[in-house]
Amino acid sequence: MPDHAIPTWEEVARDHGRRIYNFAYRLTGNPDDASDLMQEVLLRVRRGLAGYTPGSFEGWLWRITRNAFLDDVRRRKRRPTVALPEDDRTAFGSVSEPEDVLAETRLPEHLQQALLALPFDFREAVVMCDVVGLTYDEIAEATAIPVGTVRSRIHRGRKMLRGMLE
Amino acid sequence: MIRYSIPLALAGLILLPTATYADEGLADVLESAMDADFHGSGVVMCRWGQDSAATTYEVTRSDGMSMVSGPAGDFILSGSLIATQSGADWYALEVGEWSAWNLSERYSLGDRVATTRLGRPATEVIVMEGERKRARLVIDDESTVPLLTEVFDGNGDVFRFAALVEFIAAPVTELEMPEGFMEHEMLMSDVPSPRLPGAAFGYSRTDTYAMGDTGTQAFYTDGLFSFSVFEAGLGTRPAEFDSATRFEVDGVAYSRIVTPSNVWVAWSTPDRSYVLVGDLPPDHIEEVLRRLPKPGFRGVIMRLLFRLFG
Amino acid sequence: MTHPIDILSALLDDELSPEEHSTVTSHLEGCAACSADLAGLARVRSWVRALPEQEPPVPLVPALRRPPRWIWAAASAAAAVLAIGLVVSPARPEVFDLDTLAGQHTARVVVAPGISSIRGPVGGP
Repeated sequence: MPDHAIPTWEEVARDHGRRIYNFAYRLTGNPDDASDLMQEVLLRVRRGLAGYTPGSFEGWLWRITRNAFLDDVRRRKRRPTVALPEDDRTAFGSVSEPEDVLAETRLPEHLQQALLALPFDFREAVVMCDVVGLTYDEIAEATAIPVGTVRSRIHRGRKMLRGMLE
Repeated sequence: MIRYSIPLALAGLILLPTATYADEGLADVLESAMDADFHGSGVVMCRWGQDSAATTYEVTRSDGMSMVSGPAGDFILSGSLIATQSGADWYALEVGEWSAWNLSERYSLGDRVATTRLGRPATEVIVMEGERKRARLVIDDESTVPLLTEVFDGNGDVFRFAALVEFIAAPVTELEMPEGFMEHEMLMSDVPSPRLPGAAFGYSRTDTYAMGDTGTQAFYTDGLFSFSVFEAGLGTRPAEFDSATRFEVDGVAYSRIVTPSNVWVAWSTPDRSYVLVGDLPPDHIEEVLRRLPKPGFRGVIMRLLFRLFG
Repeated sequence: MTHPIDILSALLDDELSPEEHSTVTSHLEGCAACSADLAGLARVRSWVRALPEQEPPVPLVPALRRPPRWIWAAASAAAAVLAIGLVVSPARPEVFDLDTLAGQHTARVVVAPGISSIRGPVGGP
């Protein structure tokens, strides 16, 4: 979507809902929390669209998403990070490509748990880069930190994952 | 970085220390100390009156992670996540948010003297609290890591002493995570805690976190020293205080435990239990206790009266 | 020369400036340790990228006037977790245990500068 266009709320939900959900899912490890977070984000987007001035839409959207997550943690005062066992096969629906199945079987069993064991800053940076697919600049904009810090958080996050899984 | 503009004619007359941070204020000294990678082992000792405690320890900082080993177990720090070992179990906790750091204006840098320590060029720095000498640091010039830290009490005696006896700058060793996953809690700030003041004797309450299911942790700092006040229901006092030293402030009794890194004070009001823990010196502790909820009924009645008529 | 450990991840994500890129690649040609590091990081990166995409619940679009089920759903999720007993919680000592208090205090101390942050938590409580 070109940056100068103001999307409709339905467009946001349709085009970005999936990515928002997956971001939330990998941050929380929990389909219920992820779905609630996504609903909250879409509500905030809906309210915010009226005042949205064309600019970097992605940056705006991901800022809303991470703030919604942190606001929830704040509301609960404490947030345990617990991964419910996931049945990843259901995510594929009816058909899996053979390559996907192969990749799936090669993934370490506790990858999601290891993600949840990371400090939030590192987990968020890794998920934004590798699950959502944002560039370092986009992550810097969404989290309001310098690109150098983004780089360091992603590196440390991956390094910690490696230490836990290898 | 404080930059001095010196008339050229006078430049030759001014003797400046050659240390890299020579012109930085105390804030820069404290901030620089956070970053460097190093490995070291050392001793730390604390004394308050007749109570004292000392220990040796080992610390490694590498690429944003720290590991500290002591007789009571190990700590691993990464960002704001801390993992502590208790027996065979690891318990991890992450602080999710905290307020910006500010250094109290009561502190300033006093004399700086070039020196050596552990065979390395270093600079001795005095931290003044007004007219009083409050701390002495010896800082490695190359890495900006403090090799020695000394804190003085109100009488000018040593309250805490910490020194590295072995130091390796920028070690190559990489820190490894412990086995098993540390699923952990994340704490956010701004939990209400109406009984505790927003400030006490120059310490600001910058963050308040939940502690367990019903307690709170109010964190206070003046930028140099800090302490937490844990508040919970009655009957939650740690068993270690049963045989602790009792002391008085203004005729009100408290219990204290001295450990190498921290001092602990415990007391109860008619409806709450409190534990204070921090690295602040005893004269500060006494002033702070005067401003916190006090043991006994008098405190409750005074607060009630204040709320009704104040 | 010092090993450019911290920019290996950026190399994988193609987020290096041209100068950094040539510096790193020429270093890697002669350094087995960093090449091994790079391989390890690439492996972890590919794992996270291969995490299966989850299907969001239908409908995507929240109903207009219903109040957020945010808080209630969170409570029910926690209840469900407890009931099924799937939670393997970390060994959580009594709330007012000296070690637990020390840990929570230290976690906050070390994120900001100060006389103790320099040294880190030492020797237990």
